[in-house]
Amino acid sequence: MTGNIVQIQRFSTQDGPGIRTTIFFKGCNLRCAWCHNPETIDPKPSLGFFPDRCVGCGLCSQACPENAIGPHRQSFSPEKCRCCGICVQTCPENALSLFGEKKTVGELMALLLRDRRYFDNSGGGVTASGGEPMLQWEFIRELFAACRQNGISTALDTAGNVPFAHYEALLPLTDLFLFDMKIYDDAKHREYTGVGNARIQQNLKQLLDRGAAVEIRIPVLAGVNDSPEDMKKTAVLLGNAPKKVKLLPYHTLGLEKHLIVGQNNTRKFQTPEKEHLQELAKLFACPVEI
Amino acid sequence: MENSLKQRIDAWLDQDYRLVFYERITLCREAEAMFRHLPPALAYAKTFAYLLENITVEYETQGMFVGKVKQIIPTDEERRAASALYSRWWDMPLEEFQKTAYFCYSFKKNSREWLASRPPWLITQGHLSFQWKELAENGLSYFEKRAQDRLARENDPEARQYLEGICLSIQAIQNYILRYAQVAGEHGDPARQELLQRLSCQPPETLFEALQLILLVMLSIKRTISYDAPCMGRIDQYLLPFYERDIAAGRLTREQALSMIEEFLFKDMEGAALYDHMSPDSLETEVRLDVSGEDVPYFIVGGRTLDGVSCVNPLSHLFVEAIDELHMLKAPVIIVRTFNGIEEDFFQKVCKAMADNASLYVYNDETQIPAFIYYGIAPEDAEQYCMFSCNNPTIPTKMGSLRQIWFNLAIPLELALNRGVPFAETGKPRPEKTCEFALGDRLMGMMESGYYGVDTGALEDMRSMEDFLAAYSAQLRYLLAQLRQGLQADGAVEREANRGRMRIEDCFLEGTVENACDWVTGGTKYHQFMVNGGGLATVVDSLYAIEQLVFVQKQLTLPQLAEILRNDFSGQELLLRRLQNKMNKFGNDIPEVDRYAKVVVDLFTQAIQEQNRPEYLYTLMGEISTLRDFSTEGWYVGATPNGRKAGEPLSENQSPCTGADMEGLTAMLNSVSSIPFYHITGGPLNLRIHPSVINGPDGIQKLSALFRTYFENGGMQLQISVVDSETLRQAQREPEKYKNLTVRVTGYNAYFTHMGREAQDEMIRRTEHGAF
Repeated sequence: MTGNIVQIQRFSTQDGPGIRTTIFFKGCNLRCAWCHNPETIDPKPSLGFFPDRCVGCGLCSQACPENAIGPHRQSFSPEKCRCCGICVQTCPENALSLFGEKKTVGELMALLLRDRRYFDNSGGGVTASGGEPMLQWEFIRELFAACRQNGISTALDTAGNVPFAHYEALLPLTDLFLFDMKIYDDAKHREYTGVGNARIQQNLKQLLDRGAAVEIRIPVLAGVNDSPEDMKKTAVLLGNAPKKVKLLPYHTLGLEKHLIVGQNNTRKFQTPEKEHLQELAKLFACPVEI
Repeated sequence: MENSLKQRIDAWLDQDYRLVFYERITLCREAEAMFRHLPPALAYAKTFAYLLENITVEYETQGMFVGKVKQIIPTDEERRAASALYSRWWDMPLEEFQKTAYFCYSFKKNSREWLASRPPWLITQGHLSFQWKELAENGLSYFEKRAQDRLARENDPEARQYLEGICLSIQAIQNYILRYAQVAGEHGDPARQELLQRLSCQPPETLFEALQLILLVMLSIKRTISYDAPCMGRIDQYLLPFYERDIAAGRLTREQALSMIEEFLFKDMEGAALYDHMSPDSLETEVRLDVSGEDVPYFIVGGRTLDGVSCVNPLSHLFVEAIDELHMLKAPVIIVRTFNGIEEDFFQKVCKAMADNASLYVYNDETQIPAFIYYGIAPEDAEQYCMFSCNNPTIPTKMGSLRQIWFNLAIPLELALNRGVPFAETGKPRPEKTCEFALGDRLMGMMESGYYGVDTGALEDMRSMEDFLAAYSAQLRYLLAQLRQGLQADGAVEREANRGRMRIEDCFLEGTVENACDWVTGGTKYHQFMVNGGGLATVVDSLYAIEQLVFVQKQLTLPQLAEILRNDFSGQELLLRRLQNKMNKFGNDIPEVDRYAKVVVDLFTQAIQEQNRPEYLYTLMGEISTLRDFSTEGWYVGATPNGRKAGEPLSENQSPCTGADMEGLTAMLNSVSSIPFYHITGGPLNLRIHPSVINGPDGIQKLSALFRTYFENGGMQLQISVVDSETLRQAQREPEKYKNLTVRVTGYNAYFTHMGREAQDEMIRRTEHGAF
């Protein structure tokens, strides 16, 4: 079995405790309007283009066996591209990148073990993120089992929109769930993410009921989900069951990525004020980090 | 920090940059006329005494400690006079320089040369660690009596002059302290008068008294004769009995001790330069000049015994807390000796100070102690090791050392690719030389004079990577043999020129008085010459590129590659870009690349050891260090196979090549820890860390875990600057708002806005390690 992976980030310090290696899985079943990792949405591999680095040498065009790239990279025909990666290897400027690679558990473990001492000394470990890693839950079950065997702590960063049975399978292997709560209101949730949140909330409740360690992550977008009324409802729902709530203010770093993956109609949102976030934090019964 | 200290520091930072300790220069000129005709040891000692008898005793009533020199803004006339004097003293041929001043790298010609105005025969080397423990326990009289006793048993006239010089010099310091006692009396402070009278001869009794004595001894030798970058030894160890006695007697609290140490560290720093003394272009910046040419002192804390018992004590904690509070000062430097199993609370304190950009860095006993033993130091001496200056190692009180060579590891690579001839000299007749290391290079410590090697045969005949490495090794061994040959020739000249000379450090070392022999020519137990390997990552990446291009992928033959390099990639832009962007690099935790770090350093240290024999006085010791000179070192190297064009900078210190490490800090540190540091005695790893790494409630714990792991994995040294590129650019635009912004340059901190533009840009280009 292989995992479909976009990126592996070592010395990751924001996705769970300690020093971690975060594995970004490819494929997502939400379509958040503010998505920071657009390259992780489509499970199929895709070609990324960094226009700033391109010097227009045309080598990619010559190398492409499918004639998918015109003499200038701008004339790219995605329907012809089979993501063979030859152009990526050819480009001397690293202006092209392939998103989506198959990796075995063995390959991932070899990489994870290289930072084993950093994990041990910091209380860190591995985080499966994405995309929605739970769409590859069987692979993650295998990966986390191998981590268990090697004493590497595990965390799973999920948006919650899969059958609970899949979480159930991972419960004994997962030390921490990083669980996204995007918007409290179901209709609004559907508007901004493409799906309703009934199953997500149900899954969260069940995880908490089963005694899982859960850290809630809430992306905060000014004018979308940052009204005290909405946040209050989320806070009431959560009570003091989660270990921690992390408020993640919207940022624009993902915008450039949309261009890289060939999307240029991305919505822009407003970042909430720091003071406002501090006010929102007071609504929760469990510890909050901003 | 006490408010009054804070105010004094603020005032100090705002001081007029033109203030100089001028009277020293005039007094030196007068002394020269009076004493130059005397035998060297007596001329030195009497000049030293004359200075201390006549410089103004500046008596401050604010602050706990006394001791300061008088600073003025010199008139144009005074500047001209000093400049003329400087020329008279220092304009001389290299051969003369070698005999008079012994080394010259810190006396490069520059716009402030007149400040260094001292006669060359009065110059002292500094850097070494005195017998501070004996000073604290026994007072100055101990040293005077030791020299007197030895003098009574000596008949040789020259040795007698040497010992007399030592006695006179110690008496001069004692008399200087008495002058302060007298002024204290005149200021109506009989208690201080009594204390200073006592400290001039008797041992101190309390922590405060010990610190005051150390300050006055340092003041007397640093400001007058420029005792550069003194190593202050393991201060938390030798002062602990004083602290414990004070606490037990109830006359000192922990908080008072902290304030006292902060005052002490600031006081010691007060007279030093603000500018970044190692960056030639910073000399053009409008910052406060140094008073007398000396740079920063180094205090060592922590460490373990040979058996692994921790030496961390309450004073270790206090020194680290103090330097953290004083993070707006660029100096002095606290060096923490860490080890496996170091106390977590202490190590976190150290990491917090580093995160605050305090002037502090860390060395690892687990690699340092074995490295000293590798170079023949007795284990019980290696246990006491200290560091001084820009990451240089010493055995306190027992080791004479200072001179060094910045050994360019990329030069033998070029020579291996061109049958022992520099690329630029291909086809030209080989010049006649008695030694590849020209005298100027030996004295300055830089390889700048065009180096040839041995003919290692036609490249066509090198069938494997092993064959090529054998050629690289042969070039390394040849150059180090040449270095040794040059040093032995220097030794003969220096022994002759050094006859009858003494320097201030001879008063306070082990062996110099007992043997009636100065440390330069053999008084101390150990003598060290540092060989600082530079451009390691450049060479590692180049070797991996050769392996891949020539022997694995077989895209080019070795002769073809060499031809492309000789032509500096002319017409080969695509290959150049592919080498830069498509070839794996050191710094990404790729074992196939990183293995060359061990290969190169093993060849380097073996070649060094080949040149260490019992008959040689000076032991060569290997370091991995470029200081700030990685750009300069690059000028003398043609194109390299890692995709570097001729003349471009080499890799900096122990870091990967700029921008090559892409996989995050853990991967980078894993690569660096593959260097066999247990054979390397010093050198820095500079990390520039984005503030986001240490943000958050457990940021310091993460930093501490990161660094602890690096050292467990065999890392040797760490020093960090926590600042993002945007802040640095902002500071370039609005320097007046960032006058306190300290950054770590190499073995010292500098105020960013006081660095030259080139040095600033270099700092911005250093890879910024962020959090994700």
